[in-house]
Amino acid sequence: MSNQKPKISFNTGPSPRQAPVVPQTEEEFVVQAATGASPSITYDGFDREEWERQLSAPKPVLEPASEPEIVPRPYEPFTPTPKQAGFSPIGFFKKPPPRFFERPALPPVAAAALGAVAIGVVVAVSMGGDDTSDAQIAKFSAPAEPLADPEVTTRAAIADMTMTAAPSDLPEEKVVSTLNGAVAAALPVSAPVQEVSAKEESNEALETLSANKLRMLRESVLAGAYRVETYERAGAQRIRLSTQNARLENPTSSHLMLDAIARNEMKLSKALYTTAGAVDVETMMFNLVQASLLKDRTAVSEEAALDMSRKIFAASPARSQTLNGLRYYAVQEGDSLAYIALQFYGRPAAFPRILEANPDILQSPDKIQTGQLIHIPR
Amino acid sequence: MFGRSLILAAALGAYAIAAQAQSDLARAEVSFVFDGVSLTISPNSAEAPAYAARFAAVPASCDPDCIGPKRVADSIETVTEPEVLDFLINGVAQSQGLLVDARMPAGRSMGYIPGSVSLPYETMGENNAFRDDILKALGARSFEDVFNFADAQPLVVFDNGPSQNAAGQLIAHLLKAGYPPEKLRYYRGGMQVWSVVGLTVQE
Repeated sequence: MSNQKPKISFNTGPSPRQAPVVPQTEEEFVVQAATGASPSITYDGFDREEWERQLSAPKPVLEPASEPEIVPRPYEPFTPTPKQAGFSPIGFFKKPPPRFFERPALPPVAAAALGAVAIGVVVAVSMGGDDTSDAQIAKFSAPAEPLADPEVTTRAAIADMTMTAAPSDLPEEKVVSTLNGAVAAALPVSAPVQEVSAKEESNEALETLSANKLRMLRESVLAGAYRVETYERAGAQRIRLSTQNARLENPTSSHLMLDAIARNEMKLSKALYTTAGAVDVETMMFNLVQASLLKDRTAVSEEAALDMSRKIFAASPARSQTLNGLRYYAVQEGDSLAYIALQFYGRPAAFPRILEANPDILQSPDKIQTGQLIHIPR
Repeated sequence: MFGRSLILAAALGAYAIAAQAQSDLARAEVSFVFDGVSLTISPNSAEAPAYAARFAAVPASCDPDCIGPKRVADSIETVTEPEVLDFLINGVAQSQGLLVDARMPAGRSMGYIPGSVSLPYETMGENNAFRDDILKALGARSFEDVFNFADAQPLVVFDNGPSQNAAGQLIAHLLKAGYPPEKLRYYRGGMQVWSVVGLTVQE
């Protein structure tokens, strides 16, 4: 063949097959430069036989193009089945993609059997009378339980969690029994010490640690050096504030506080207990920092405290549902009443509003249970 | 070889899309209950041609005549009649969304899509005193000066049609107020295409 194209390499240096001669002296270098570096053209690794064998090899036969047959479908009647919008992952554990609107939750088989008229009936039933929704609420609601600890919190005695009066204004036992116990313990106040005991010492250590921690958090919030962080717990999207120096969650002081609470040395608002009976540490710390800022009674601190709420409120993913014109929220695992109040009203301290709206379901702020449908007044 | 199979795959993909499109062909007759009233939308409505002429006669939003873009904003999906009908049945009728007429009252009085609500685009302007109340009515929660849109209704927004920009302006206002783009869709056809297709117009 005449059109063979052997590989040609241009080599401007000494042939690579020769061992390079490294000039040792200036004279040698001059000699080498004068004699050895003439450009040369070499055929590098060309195997003519292999080349021809490749050329004469049978070419792979390409499959004939099989055009897909496109059959137009007949004009189908419109059946409003509740189909998923777009492509959705299959399986129990995959999170459904965000849908544009909530489609009616009907099983596919039942839905296929239902026509538009049947759906209309379903709507009429679900929109109709109080019985349906009441039954639904009753189903989710907890059986009436007596207060576990009636002397600590009665419905009437629930104080505003952000109450910022100096603890020294109140009798000591009142400080302990109000919901502000946590705030009082965390604030760097000089509590009247009558006699030094082991209990008092641990309280002092707790106060010092908490005060330092609180001061750090306060500084961060005042400087605006924090952001809203979304995280997942028990399969639910949750939000919390996160500062550059410290997270509101799991600081050493909060562990100490939890210990103190466990030892009955400190009382905690019942609104800060989650459905699992644990302490909602994030909301507790949020409330501590916010209450501490409000206690300053300065415009800057108040604005900073308000901004904490604004940021959390705007980012809240909590979704409600409307039944008979009223707003309901299905309690999720890990919720505390204070956290719910924070998301719907911007303040953990607003929880009594929810409590009062649900006298039949919530006998006490810590009685919330996963799945309960609680009324959130607008 | 590889290129060939790629073409084949692409062709099969196109086939799948074609099949998808075909299955979305829907008979345009739906009935649903909205605000306690039973509504029916049917094709070949007798008055449709008269309405089509009426909506076609509405002058374009801008001078000289212009035509609306395919999408009003980057993140806003544009929808067509089958999606609007589906939204009316599975969204609006289930209190899970609103079909929003962005025209000013004069435009609305010429006729509208059954099941739609009037939300003139100017009422959502930044300086409008009613803006915040409307946002709350749409399901937004408010605290101080911030809104939370977790409970806000999904909205499909339309206007007179491709020659008008009321829907685009309403969507721009809503986005500026913080309304999440994933809760907004744009029905570009509007009254013009709706009536040309022969669908029921309410007055």
